[in-house]
Amino acid sequence: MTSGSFRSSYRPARVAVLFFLVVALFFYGSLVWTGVISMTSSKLLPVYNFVGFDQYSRLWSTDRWIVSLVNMVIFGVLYVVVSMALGIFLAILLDRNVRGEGVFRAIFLYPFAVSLVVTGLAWRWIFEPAQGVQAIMRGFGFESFAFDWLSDPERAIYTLVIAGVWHSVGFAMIIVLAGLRGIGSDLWKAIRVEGIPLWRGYLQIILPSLWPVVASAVVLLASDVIRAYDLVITLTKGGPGFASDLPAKFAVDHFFGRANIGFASAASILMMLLVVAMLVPYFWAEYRAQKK
Amino acid sequence: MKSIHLRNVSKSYGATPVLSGINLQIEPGEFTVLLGPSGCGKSTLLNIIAGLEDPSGGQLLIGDRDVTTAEPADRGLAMVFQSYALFPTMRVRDNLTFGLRIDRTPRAEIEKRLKWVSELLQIEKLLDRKPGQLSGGQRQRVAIGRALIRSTDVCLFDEPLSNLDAKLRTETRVEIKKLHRDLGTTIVYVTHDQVEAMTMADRVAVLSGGKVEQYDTPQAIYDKPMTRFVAGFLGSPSMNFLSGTLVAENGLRLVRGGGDLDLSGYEVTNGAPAGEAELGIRPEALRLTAPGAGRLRARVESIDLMGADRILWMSVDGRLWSVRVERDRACREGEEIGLDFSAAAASLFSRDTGARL
Amino acid sequence: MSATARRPDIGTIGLYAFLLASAVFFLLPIALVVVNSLKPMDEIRAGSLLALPAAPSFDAWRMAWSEACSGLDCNGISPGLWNSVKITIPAVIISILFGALNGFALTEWKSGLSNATMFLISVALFVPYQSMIYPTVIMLSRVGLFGTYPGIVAVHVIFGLPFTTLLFRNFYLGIPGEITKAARMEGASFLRTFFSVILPMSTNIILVVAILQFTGIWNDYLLGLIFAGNDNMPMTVQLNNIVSNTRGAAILNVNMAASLLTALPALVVYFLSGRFFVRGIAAGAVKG
Repeated sequence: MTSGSFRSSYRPARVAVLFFLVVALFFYGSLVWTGVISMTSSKLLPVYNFVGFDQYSRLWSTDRWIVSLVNMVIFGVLYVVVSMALGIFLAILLDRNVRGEGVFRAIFLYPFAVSLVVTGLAWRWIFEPAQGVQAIMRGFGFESFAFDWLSDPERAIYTLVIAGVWHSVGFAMIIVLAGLRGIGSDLWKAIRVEGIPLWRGYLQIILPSLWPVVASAVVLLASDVIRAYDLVITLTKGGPGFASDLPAKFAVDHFFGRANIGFASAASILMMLLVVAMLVPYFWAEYRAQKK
Repeated sequence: MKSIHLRNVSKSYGATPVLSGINLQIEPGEFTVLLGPSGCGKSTLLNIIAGLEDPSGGQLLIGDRDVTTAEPADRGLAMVFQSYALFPTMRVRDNLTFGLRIDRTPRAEIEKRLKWVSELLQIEKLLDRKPGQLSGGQRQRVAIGRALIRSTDVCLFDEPLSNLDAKLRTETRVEIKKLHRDLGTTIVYVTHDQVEAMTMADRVAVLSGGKVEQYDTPQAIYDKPMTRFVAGFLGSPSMNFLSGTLVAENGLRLVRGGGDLDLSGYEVTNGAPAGEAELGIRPEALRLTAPGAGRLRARVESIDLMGADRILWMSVDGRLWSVRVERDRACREGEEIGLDFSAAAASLFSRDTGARL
Repeated sequence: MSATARRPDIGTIGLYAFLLASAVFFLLPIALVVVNSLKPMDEIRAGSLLALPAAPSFDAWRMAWSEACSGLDCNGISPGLWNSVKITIPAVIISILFGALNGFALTEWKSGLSNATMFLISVALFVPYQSMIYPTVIMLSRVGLFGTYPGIVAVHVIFGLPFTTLLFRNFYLGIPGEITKAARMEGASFLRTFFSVILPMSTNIILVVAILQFTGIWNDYLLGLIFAGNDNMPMTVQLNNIVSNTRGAAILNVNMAASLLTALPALVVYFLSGRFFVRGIAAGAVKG
């Protein structure tokens, strides 16, 4: 019998380990390195003089970081909640044997295929007072109509929410719709036989049975929040001032724009901790569900 | 043709033992069936022979060669799977010749064997179809063809008939048996179907709880089961049992609530039988007698018509027994009746160990 | 639902009203951009964004394509298109190959370690890019790939590896184990099994991953910005440079045309792929 690389060797472990080393190096290696650097006073270039948790305590006394964190909470909660709520609602509507379902679905989902860069720009033009909503309303005769959230430090963050929701509702909808379509007709028959009103059927029977689907959609949307960079850059540029800054932009700015690597690393590590805090309950719930 | 020799083979997943101390000597050209209920370890054992799983301990020889750690492809065997496992994107032709092409067999040789195997199995017309375009029976033939084409010394079958309907199953059974007779390949065949085991095997290994209970010819296993498990597992309806205490003085007797049962004439297998035991009698080994005439009293509970014969279900000592009788034998439900049997056709098992006495 | 009740009730009207209103919300932003990209600049200044163009013209599109300025260069967005194409296509193909191979390897590797590996790969999916970018810059610089064409392709492939692996693995878990066992019995090696048996069975999932990776990589901004270097800058980065060009007044219609040109390829893929895109999203949602 001959023996060559295409014969007699069935060793998937080698391939898997090889690829895992790449993932480990770039993902986990990077995390470790960033963790180390966050403990140093590195500025323009990485240096290894350790300063303990100085960078972290500096972060907590930096207004811009606090603002970006608060923004992340505001943006994150609203983005996830509104996207999910609207997504679930639209999915339920489309599941009611709607005519032209395919067309509606395509319209609701297409923003997901539009880059966040273009999304941000399109909404900026809409929010810009010079030609956007304000100008349009004034054109209709409401001379004193004012809509200037982009330059309002209190409200700029909400423009991000609107654009983000526009981008992601379709995504939430599709996931929930897939879940709804997976529900057996027996459950529906039972609901009808029992004479349960439609809205109660959805609220108390159908949606609870979809919770794994909803949970994974929430986790995916939440991970968008932490990675959201493109949208801020194009829509508000973090402004006015740093009123609509997000940690994702804060970290990149300090890595590259402001050459403050140690500081930026500390911010990235805190971002990772936020992710972990979000994932632990999710994985734990999945693990529990699998055990049952 | 090659022999297969398993020496003390064991397998466990973590702390869960699946197989322990398996010893089998399968002769060259022999058709061996591994029979047992689901979860008994028979498929694991087959996978270990195939090399798809590694044993946790023990040794495996095919022919004279120790192949315990050899790659499946280097063991010189072929396998037919339960789901057929045809490669769905390849035509039948390519499915059949895949292994030969990997071995870089010369093209002329491949064509020759393809012709031989497709004629043998009458699948010449299917060669250019994809598996998705075949019926279950056709897929089965292709799967067998793929195993035969390489003319290996050993062929393994993993419940190959369980996805076929009853009629096709019987036909294919006959056909596999014929192929074995013509080709003489050593076959190891896993099934949970005792009819397949009884009709096809030269020898049957009955497995339970990861152990070989008995390895013998189908007839021996049926007539002289060596353990209580084998006795209960084979036969339909299954063997009838009665428990009591064995006493050896003044001829072998089973002492029980309903009086002593004379068992003189029983061929003792192991030592001097005594103590708690179970008596087993096959449904066809029982004779109906007038009430009070036989050694046992019974009451007919229900009657199953089987066509060729009839099964009477009756209560004996509070247990439900079955008796096979010719179809003309008159009787009715509720009738009190006597039963008798020849002690030589009965089996005795220890209550403690389950071993034949 | 019943054929007799044809008269629409209040609920049905409400349902369609809400769906139509939603459709307007989702269509409006892009529709406005399309409409205004067809107007000359004076018309935009004079009228409102809502007004239809008096005389639609593709002048702004032409400008956006070949004349718009980013920084000192005034070559339009067309160089970016070519850069995006040459980054996206190899990155998608290699991602598919690696993801499929790794996903299959993890399915076939039966061991507790395999599950642990899969767990770590799933978690990697959520690692913020911000904590990976700088170390990756350093690693690529060491091997001379930072800011180069192979560098940006590699970054997309590597950063996408957990995602593609996961999608393929979930698909391969559904393939009966007996198929690969059969291939092994026939003497096929792991790689031979993968290329001859498994990959031809994977057309559906390949399409799904191809679509998701294509839109993902095409729409990427951050990685392109940092890793591509000036010569390979993808379209999204060039778009943002053109739009944020501060010299002179914003040329809105040109900027809008440039945005549309950037969005177009991903949208075309989206509308052509139909159910595969939807299926891909549903498949991607079963992470973890």
